Order: sequence, then structure tokens, then C-alpha cells
Amino acid sequence: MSLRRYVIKRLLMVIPVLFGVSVITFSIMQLVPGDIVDVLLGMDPNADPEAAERLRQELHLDRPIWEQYLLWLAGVLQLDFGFSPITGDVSETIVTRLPATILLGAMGWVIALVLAIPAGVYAAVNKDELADDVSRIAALFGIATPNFWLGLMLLLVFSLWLGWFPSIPPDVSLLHPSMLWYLLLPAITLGTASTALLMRIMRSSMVEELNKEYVRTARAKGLPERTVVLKHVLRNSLISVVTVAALMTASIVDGAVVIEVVFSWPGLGEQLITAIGQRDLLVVQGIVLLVGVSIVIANLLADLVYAWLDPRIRY
Amino acid sequence: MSTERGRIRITGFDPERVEEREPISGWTDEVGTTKGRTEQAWERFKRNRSAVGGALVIVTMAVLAVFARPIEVMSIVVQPFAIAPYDPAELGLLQGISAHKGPSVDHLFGTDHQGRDLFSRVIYGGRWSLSIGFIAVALALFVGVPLGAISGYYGGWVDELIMRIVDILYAFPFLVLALAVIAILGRGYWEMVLALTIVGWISYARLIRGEILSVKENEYVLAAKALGARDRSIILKHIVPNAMAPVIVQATLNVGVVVLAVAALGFLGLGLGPAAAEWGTILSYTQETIIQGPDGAIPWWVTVFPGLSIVLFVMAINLVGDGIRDAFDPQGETDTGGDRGGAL
Amino acid sequence: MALLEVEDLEVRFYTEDGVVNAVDGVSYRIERGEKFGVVGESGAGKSVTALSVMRLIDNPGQIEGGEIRFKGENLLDMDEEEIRSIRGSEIAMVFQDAQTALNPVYSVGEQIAEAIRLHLGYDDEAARDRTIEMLERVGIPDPADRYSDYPHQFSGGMQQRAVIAMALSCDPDLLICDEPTTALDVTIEAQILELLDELADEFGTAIQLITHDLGVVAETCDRVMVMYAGKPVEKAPVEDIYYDPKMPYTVGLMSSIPRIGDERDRLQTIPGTMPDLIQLPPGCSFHPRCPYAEEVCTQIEPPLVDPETGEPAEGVDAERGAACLAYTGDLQNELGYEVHVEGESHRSAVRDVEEITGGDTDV
Repeated sequence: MSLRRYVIKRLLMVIPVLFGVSVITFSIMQLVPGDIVDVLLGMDPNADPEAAERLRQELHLDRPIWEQYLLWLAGVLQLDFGFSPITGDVSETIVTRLPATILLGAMGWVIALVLAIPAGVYAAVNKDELADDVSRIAALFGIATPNFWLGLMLLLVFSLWLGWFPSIPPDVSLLHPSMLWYLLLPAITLGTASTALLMRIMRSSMVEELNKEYVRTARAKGLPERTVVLKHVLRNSLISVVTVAALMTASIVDGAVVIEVVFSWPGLGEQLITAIGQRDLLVVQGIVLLVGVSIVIANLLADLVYAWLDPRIRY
Repeated sequence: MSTERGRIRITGFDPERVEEREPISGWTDEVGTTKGRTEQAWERFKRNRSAVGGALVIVTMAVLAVFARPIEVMSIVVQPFAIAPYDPAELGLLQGISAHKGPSVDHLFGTDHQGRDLFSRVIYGGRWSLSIGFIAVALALFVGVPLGAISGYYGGWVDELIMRIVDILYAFPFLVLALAVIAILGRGYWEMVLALTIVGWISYARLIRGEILSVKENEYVLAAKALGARDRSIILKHIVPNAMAPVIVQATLNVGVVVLAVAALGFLGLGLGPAAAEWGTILSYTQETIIQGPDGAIPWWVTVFPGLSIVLFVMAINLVGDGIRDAFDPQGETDTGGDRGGAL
Repeated sequence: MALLEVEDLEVRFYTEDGVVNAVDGVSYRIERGEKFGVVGESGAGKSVTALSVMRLIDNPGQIEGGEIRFKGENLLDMDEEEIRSIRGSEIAMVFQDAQTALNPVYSVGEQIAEAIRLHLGYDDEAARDRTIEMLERVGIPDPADRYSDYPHQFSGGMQQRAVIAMALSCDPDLLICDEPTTALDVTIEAQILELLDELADEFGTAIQLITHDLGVVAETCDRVMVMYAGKPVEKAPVEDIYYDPKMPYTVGLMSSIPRIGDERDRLQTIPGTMPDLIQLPPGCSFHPRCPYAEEVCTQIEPPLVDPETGEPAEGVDAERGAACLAYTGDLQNELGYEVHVEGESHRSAVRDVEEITGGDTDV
């Protein structure tokens, strides 16, 4: 199959998934028990009846459900996620909050990759030796430690006890150095949580590749072990790790939700939790949709990169 | 020389003699024992010290949780023991026990912001995490395994439909999906169980479908089909037992994932009620003490002990899960950890 | 001095189930330009012997004893760097399955050029030129165009040709071919063997050919060693193996070669399978499968001796040897098989016709 045909086929496969994601997100509002307008207005018996009527109009509640869905979808496609009685325009809320989350997520992702790939390679090359055992134990701790608790402990030690970091974000712009300094703790928390899993996957992928015959051919050529590992084996195992790294986006998002709350980081995750607490469902809906679409796109990119890296698919 | 090969011919080398004669020595080809697969796996599991250690930790924590306080069912006491020195809900402040008291002989883990005994709260808290962990995983298995089995065995449009649903649900991260369900249902014990079941079944369906696809082509299944065995009996007798080992491993590891998710939801204030002695919920109240640190002193114990109990339990369950995997697949090099939710 | 002398090689694998004696007391030598065959069923220790010569035995395997002298120098005493300068340049290897032996993510040309750059010190362009030349030499059409193709774009036979080009690219003195044609069609097999034969003559390369197929050995080799359960059980010049096999195992392998014009219903095969190397049968390891086995075979392990004289033939230089108690005088009956060539009867051992009569009649 040519690369172009593969790409087209893969792009077509995204459409039903995105449709499904939109249906699930739309149905959040439909599944809430009770009258959705009452819920959105905070069950306030003294709520302005006019406000309730406006909301009913806005959500097209007088129309049949499939029309409601299509009208909602049309709005979403124009980035109109509705107007929340609590926090105002949902799109605006998301746009304000998004950069902080992206910054945190990107830093966490980079930290995870930088730690996990070399550690996984090293553990695989020294399989069943001390380094491998250490990595196994470290990974076990990493997997067993709740993200938020790791964040709390880092705050306890480095902010409260040692005083190296402030315990709440400084009141400056996002890319200000003191803000980035503050971001270091949450980013490390987020990154190390994913490191454990990624490192073990990197290791097992490397171990699997190291047992393949082409490795013996490379050694039989007289190549130094370094070249065998870093040129021949690493390239093969990175191909499969790319997929995992993209799947990691999901766990990074999960991690970000919790860590933003721990570190009072003004991102989408913190907004999501607040919105759930306040039953601000339009905001919940907007954020969940954004997350779902982002993950679908991340997985799509992973597959395309995989195809690009692996000549067996590229051809 | 190849043309000459045809001209060489050997007579008198008679293999039948070997088959017909009595064995001339006691030696046989048989190396392995005749024990069943499960039995062999159990033998291997027992020899795995870290897995047995993990199992002991889980049993201990479960026993502590069950016997922490008496249990009454319809005002009949079914479990009279009380290991916990204090009532986990008892507000110590009213009894003159001060808030944020450090660890001591009276209060092993210290007291919290309302003077409650943290040790009692932590061992009692195991009830929430452990029970949700096991119930949610059991329910997810109950949904995921049949769906995955049907999907993998029948293929066609059934497979297509189920796998599309799986794909769509996979577009949402574990916790975000659980949060969405809780946003709809509100918080509470059964709400949380339901949310984690809805999120959890997907991985079993996918796993067992993959296993079945690979087992399906095995000769014994084809043979059973050729002999006219019915579909249902093929699934039950041949495929499911072979595909179960990885599912059991995944389920064990997922108990850990669910416990972490319960803690995270509790921490976010979206799990149980604020008074519940659930580990994550306890921790959600310590966040304030970290940011402010009352009177300059840092009550580190309110953060450390509930967190450590989560780490201890999840680590133990992972050791058991790895032990089961190694027991079924001693040569295996693959980590099944590739599923979602591991980084909660 | 012989090109390669392997003396009393012992290789063990320490597995969870026990210690595997993969190679146990193997000795042989290969002269310059000579073609030496190593024959046996899978698990006989052929490949492990070959990998030992390359010092490519991985954990949990260990070379436990013996010497491997290449041009007089013991390879087992060399440090990692010295052995690397020999691998691929003086001793090269062709593997069984070319498809898995090639790295899927690098082009075929790059994988060959890599070795040339390393051992011959050529720059990128010169290495590319030599690679194309080698690809042409092994019979790959349009070599310049195929240089940047990936392994999956080659057919099985072409892949094996590429692997041979890789092995010969640095003009080695010894080429170890581990079942080089097992993964190929019969028609391709003949082509590849012919190519190997031709190139080895042209480059003056000695070949150690590992195979389970005595037919392949017949077409290619000068001398042969038959291995069973990690031990050499017969050594002989290739004619003797065919016209005058001495060890019942060899005879069994011979009688399982399919022939044109064979009128029998089914092939004779050796009953049973190679034993597990962790738990070898006592005495002669072949006794559970040997039609001529007697009680003594379960007690005494037969040494490798000259079948004519009964003198020990374990050493590197022994030309002829067979490990069977028939030649040490311990066996009560004779080995009752007979080799026929072109109608004439070529008696390998005095045969007790009355006692052992095969059901077969001659062609």
C-alpha cells in the first residue's frame, strides 16, 4: 500500500470516531437527571424565569433531539460552545485556560521522554543486572504513586520545608521566568508519573528487538556494540514506542487535571473540576469534547509518524 | 554429485526395530511433569517471593479494613471486632484532643485538622478503596469479557460495532471519562463504581478479542469446529480458558488503577462525601495545610500516611499482578502495562 | 597451519530448567579454501558451534572450555575489540533466514556498505561503489537501483543473495553458512548453493556449511562432521560419508534422503526425535533411536575412534572417526546395514542377514 493511500485510509477512519466522540459529549447534557435548565441555573428556585427561558431557547430544547444535536454540532464547528450562566462564554473560558495546560503538558511530556528513553535502553542492555532491577523498582514506585500525592509531597519538601519554590503560582504572565520556575514542580510531577510506564515499555521493546536475528547479523559484521544498540536496535524499538508516546497524551491529560488542582495551576483541568463541582455542564461539555478530539488527533499523528518511520508501511 | 545420489542406497537400517522392541534403558523423552497449566502456574507463583509478599500485604490491609470497626447489617452485629483505637468519624476536638497533633503512642499517625485519629481513619479507609477497586473491576470484567469474546469470535458487523464503541471510548482519557460520568450522575459510592466500570470494561474487551483472534486459528479450535462443535461450546471450552490468563493479569493490575482513580476522585472532592475516611478524600483536606502550614509548623503526617497506604496497596497489587503473569508465562518478556490509566 | 582449528569446544547454556550441554567436546579443523560440512538434526549443536567461532554466544550461554584457533591465534583469548576486527572481515556469516537477518528499517545497500566502511576504511562513496559491485556479483539485477531498496522489497532468494554479498564484502578467509538455504524453495536452493560454491572458489574463501541435509553437503563439501546431541559422532571425507558411513545415525540420515526413482511407499526415517539436551540418555545418546542398540550402549558412552583401527580419533587432525561401540569391540552383534552403489554391493560391515532383514527389496 502506498503511503498516500495509507494516509487517506487512516484519515477516513477518524471520521466515525470523531462522530462518536461528539455524540458522547452531546449526551452529557441529555443524561443528566432532572430538568437541564434547572441544573444549569443551580437549582435556584428564585432564578429569573426569563433567564431560564433564554437558556431553553439557546439549547433549542423545543426541538427534537436530533435537531438539537445538529444545531449544537453546527455551533461547535464554529467554536461556539454555548454561554454558561455561571462562567459566561465557554469558548472564551477555554481559550483563556488552554495555554497554561498546554505548557504544563508539553513540559511533562518532554521530561517523561528525556528520562524514560535512555533509562529504558540502559535497563534493556543490562537486562537482569543491577541497573535493570533498579529501573524495575523505580517503575513500580512510579506506577503505584498517585500523581496528586507525589505533587503534595514535592510541595511539602521543596516549598514548605526547603522553601525553594513558592507554594502558589506567582501573579505574572505565563512565560515569565518566575512562573516557569514555579512550573518546574508540577511538570516534574506530571512527567515522572508517565516515565515509569514509558521506561518499562521502552525496555521491553528493546529487549524484544535485541533478540531478533538482525542484531546477530549486525554483530557478526563486527560492529561495536554501541552501534548495534544505538543504530540498529534503537531505531526499530522507537518505532513501536512512538505509538505508546502518543497514547501517553491521554495519561498526561489525566495527570494534568489532578496536578493543576494540587498546584493551583490556572489550566483547563482545574477549570473542569471546578465546573463539575458547580454543575457548570456547558463548560464540562466543552472541555471533554476538546480532550476527546485532541486525543483522536494525537493517535492519528502517532500512526502517521509510525508509517513514516517504518519502511514496511511506507512502501 | 547430485546425480549420483540416486545411486546410493541403504538397506538394513530398520527403524521399526526401535518401535517394536522393549525400551532397552529406563530413559524416556518425557521431561515435563504431567501437572496442569494452572497447577504449574500456582507452583511458580508460590516460589515468587515478591508476589507472595504483595499478596500478604493485600490480605493484611483487607483484614485491617474489615476488622477496623464492627459491621452491622440491619442492626445485627456481624463483625464485632474493632482494631482501630478510635472511631474514625469521632471529632477529637470535642473530646479535648487537639487538632494536628504529631504522631505519638496514643495517635500513631497523629491527628487531623478536626482532631480525628489518623491511624484509625487510614485503616478504616481501606474499606472504601479496596471494595470499590474489586467491585468495579469485577463488574468491568462482567461486561468486557463477554463483549470482547463475542466480538473476537464472530467477527463481522458485531465485531465492527463493538470495536467502534471501544475506539470512541478510548478517545477519552480514563480519568476524564470517569469525571464526565460523575458530572452527569453526581458523586457517591455507587456513582463512582458505575463510572469506573463504564471506563474499565474497554480494556478487557480489547484484550480478550485479541487473544481470541490468535487462539481461534489454533488447530484444536479448527478441529473442534470440523467435528461440528457448536459455537458456544467452542468459546466456553477451548477459547476462553486459553485467553483468560492475560485477562486475569490485566484485571489484577487494574485493581491498582481503580484504587488510584478512587483516590484521585476523592482528592478532587468528587468521590465520597467530605467526612468519609477514604484515603483520597482525607488527602484533599491536607492540601490546605500544605499551602498555609498552620502556625508555621508543618503537619506532614496528614499528607504522608494516607498517601503511603495508597502506594503500599497499589504496589502490592502490581507485584501480585506481575507474579501471576510470570507464573503463566515464565519466558514472557512483554509488559502488559501498556494500558491506560497507569499514570494516575 | 590450518585456517581454523577447533579443539575440544564445550558450550553450556544455564537455563531455568537446567544446564544444557549444547556443545560437548567438539574438535575439527578447516584448511584454507576448504569446504567443511557440519550435519545433524536441529538441536545437535551445529549453530552453537558456529556462533562460538564468531564468539557470538549470548547469555545464558557460556563457552566453558576448549580452544578456537584462527590462523594459529586463540579467538577465545582475544578481547572484545580484537574479535570485532575479525568478525565480518576475516570470518563472516550467512544466516538461515535472510528475511529476519536483515534489519527492516535500513536499506539493503546501507547494511552492506556499513561493514565495508568499518573494516576496509572506505569513505561513503567508495563503500557504495563496492556494495553495488558486490550486489552485482551475487546476481542481483540493477544493483545500483536496488541499493536503496529495503529488505521487504527483495524476494527471499534475493535477500539471501544480499546477505551473501554482505558476508563476502570484506573478503573474508572463512565463511560460516548456517543453513543458508533452509528457508528457500528447492529451485532457489540450488542456485544459492551454486553461487556460494563459485564465489568461494573465486575469493579463495573457506566455508563451514551447516545443514541438516546430507544432499546439500554432497554438492558442496570436501569433508564432513556429523553431530548428534552436542557431540561429533562421525568425521570423514565426503565420499566416505556417502559410500561408507560408519555411525548408525549417519546411516539413518542417509536413508532418509528422498531419491528419484525410489519405489518404496514411504521414506525411511530415524524413529523418535533428538533428546532434550538437559537430560541426555545414559551411554550412547543415540541408543533410544538406534536399531542396533544393545544393552551395552546404555552403559558406555562411545568415544570417537578410527573405525578401521579402533584408535582414538578425538583430535583436531583426525580425518576419520566414528562414535559407535561397534568399533571399540563392545558390541555383540554387527551393524547390519548395507550400502549399494550402482548395483554393486559395497559392504560397510559384515552383516548378519538372517538376524536383521529389512523388508525392502533392492531397486
